[in-house]
Amino acid sequence: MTEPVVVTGIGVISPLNPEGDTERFWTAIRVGEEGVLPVRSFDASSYPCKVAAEIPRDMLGAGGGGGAVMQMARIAFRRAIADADLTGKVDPKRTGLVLGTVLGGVVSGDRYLRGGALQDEEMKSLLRRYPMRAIAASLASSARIGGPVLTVSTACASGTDAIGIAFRKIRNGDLDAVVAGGVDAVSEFSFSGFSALNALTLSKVRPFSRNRSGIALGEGAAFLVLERENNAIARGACILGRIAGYGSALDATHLTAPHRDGRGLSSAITSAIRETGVEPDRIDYVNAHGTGTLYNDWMETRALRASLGPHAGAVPVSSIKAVLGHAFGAAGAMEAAVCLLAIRDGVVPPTANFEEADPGCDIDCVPNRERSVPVRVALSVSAGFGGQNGALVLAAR
Amino acid sequence: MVITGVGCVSPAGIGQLDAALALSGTPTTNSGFRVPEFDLGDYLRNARYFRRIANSTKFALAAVSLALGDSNPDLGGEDRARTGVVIGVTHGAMGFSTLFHEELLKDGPGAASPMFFAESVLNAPAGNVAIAFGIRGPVHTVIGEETVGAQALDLALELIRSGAVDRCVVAGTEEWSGVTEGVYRQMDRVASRSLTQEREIPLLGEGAAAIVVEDAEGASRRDAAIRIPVLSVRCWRDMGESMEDSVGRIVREELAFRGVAERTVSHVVLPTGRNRGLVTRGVFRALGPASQAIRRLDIGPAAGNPFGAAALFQTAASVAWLSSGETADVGLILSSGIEKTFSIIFLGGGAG
Repeated sequence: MTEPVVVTGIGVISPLNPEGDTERFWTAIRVGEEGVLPVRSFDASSYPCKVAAEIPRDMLGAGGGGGAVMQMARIAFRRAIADADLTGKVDPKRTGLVLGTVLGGVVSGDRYLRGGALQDEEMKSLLRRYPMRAIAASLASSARIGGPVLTVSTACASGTDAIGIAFRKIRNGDLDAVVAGGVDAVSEFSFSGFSALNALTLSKVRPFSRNRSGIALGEGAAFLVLERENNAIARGACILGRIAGYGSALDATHLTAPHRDGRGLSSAITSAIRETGVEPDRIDYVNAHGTGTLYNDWMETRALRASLGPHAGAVPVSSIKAVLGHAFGAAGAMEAAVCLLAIRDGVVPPTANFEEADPGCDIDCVPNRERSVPVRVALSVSAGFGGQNGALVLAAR
Repeated sequence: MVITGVGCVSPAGIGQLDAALALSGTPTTNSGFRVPEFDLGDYLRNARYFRRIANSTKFALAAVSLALGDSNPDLGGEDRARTGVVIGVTHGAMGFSTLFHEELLKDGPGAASPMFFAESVLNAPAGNVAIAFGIRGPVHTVIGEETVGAQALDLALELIRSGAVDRCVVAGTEEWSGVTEGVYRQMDRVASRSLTQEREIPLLGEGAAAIVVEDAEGASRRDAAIRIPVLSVRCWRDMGESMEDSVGRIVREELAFRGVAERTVSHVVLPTGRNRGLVTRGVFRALGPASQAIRRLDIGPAAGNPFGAAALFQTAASVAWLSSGETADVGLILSSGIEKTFSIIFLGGGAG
């Protein structure tokens, strides 16, 4: 049994829309508004890199308990459910949740490991929020989701894989609806880790530019509501698009560096497109992983060349990480949301901060300005630590 | 779907079916439920590449190597992309994570080791397994409680059913750390002594277990030795119903759906986590009069509560018990998590 899977709700919170308004997010992405600013959530003065894309903590509010990451997840999750008008419209036991995260409650863990002087009750509160599984459990309880609740951690492909796994669960007939997405917050733990790996930019994030110099950390959350098409139609839901295909593959070469020719990513893209039954030249837009590191952007260009053939040189490809930084577990879900909005409006967002073409990235990366393009089929790709690669094909209904 | 390979790295021993059988045997003499020191080179040809890895990765590599050795699939050429990996983890590499923090606090950002950071990422065991065995299909890491191994198995079965892969390596891994132990003690969620009664919460354990699952037809085609079929996997969350009632109801539903008679259930592998007493009672009540003849297998006395590895340890123990020749019946594996998550796995029902 294979069921068509549609998207009926989007919820996003990012440094560009700290209140969680999806239209505000989309407008800021389209104009290339800069979200990468001096670090505010901790003292970064002793690090070479001093920038990140953060949501002001005072805008997240303290209601309902939980740290910043939990609040981000809650806001985007509630927005997605409200957008889909899902509450009370689906069988809780046939509804699931798949959350992608890389670092989960590491901000709480970081404070716990540093906090020798904290009072016992405060320590216990941090501990409850530390486990990565705690976020999904809390979200599922709040929405009374009674089906499978899964937390996946496939590094920077986590958000993409969460949506892909949810897609399969509905397509196979196991569930009627799944809320799927990702969340991660900037923490000194991750900042220092990527600093130690010399992966952080000292200037701006410039995906596909010859002078690109690395990533900036980002944060936020994004969720999509996926539903069985017949279910969505029957309840009169507004259908935003379809998930048409999903692929996942491993490089199996190195834990922290991508395969130079994008072997795994190419394989994931090919699997996702094959699942849709359309030819690669039907792809109208690619939302790239586009981190702005030297090797990722080369690898990604090669993977697109290998999987899309000559069409790779013609299709618009853009990265929103120039303005959002790298939101890890949330990135793939934010990018899938962008693909759906591009399909809706017939506009592809730009790759901001682009300065100089790199012969190794010979693709049309939509430099600096949005472009009006009819988009029927979009491809969203992610890659990450461990050689993880994921690809989603999203299509107009 | 069938299981064609088993590997275990536990406080009770390191090996294949023999080590899995030991999990439900005599209590370990290792009171801390720690895996004895071992040389990864004894289990992995390219072990030199993995010299600086966290224990959770080391355990997973050895367990997967043993399971693949037992199953013996072809991992060359195109088969590499037709093989997947799903690993369940609860806490991950807490040892390296703590060391990274300590370096950061003591000597500042310039001194923190990138290696400790990279190995702290929760998908490091899965990524390293893929590198070690050249597996290029979908590789996922699932984070959860004691039930996470069942969630990993469920996802693996889905990958095979959807045609994404022909076979999947499913593993659960966990390493002991002082921080984790301290955390649960602060939250009053581990016992101060070893498990002796049904209601007690066992001490934190560690280790890894791995199985190879594939569809029965594919396994027969390559003449693989089929250890045991997987009948069903169900994972769910508490929805306000009493735990005893919900687990009993779901066990009955699954048995009816699969056409399995209660009397064919030969053993139940008890949960290692919180609420184990309630969950066990619910299941035995649901099994009715047949329950008196059902054997209870408990890995707690041998392995403690190994969280992310728990459900795969339990599965391995059940496979070993069913494969021991005493019975060709059905085994039921029960798991309950600290945050009221539950899972059941039914194995058996005749080889193939």
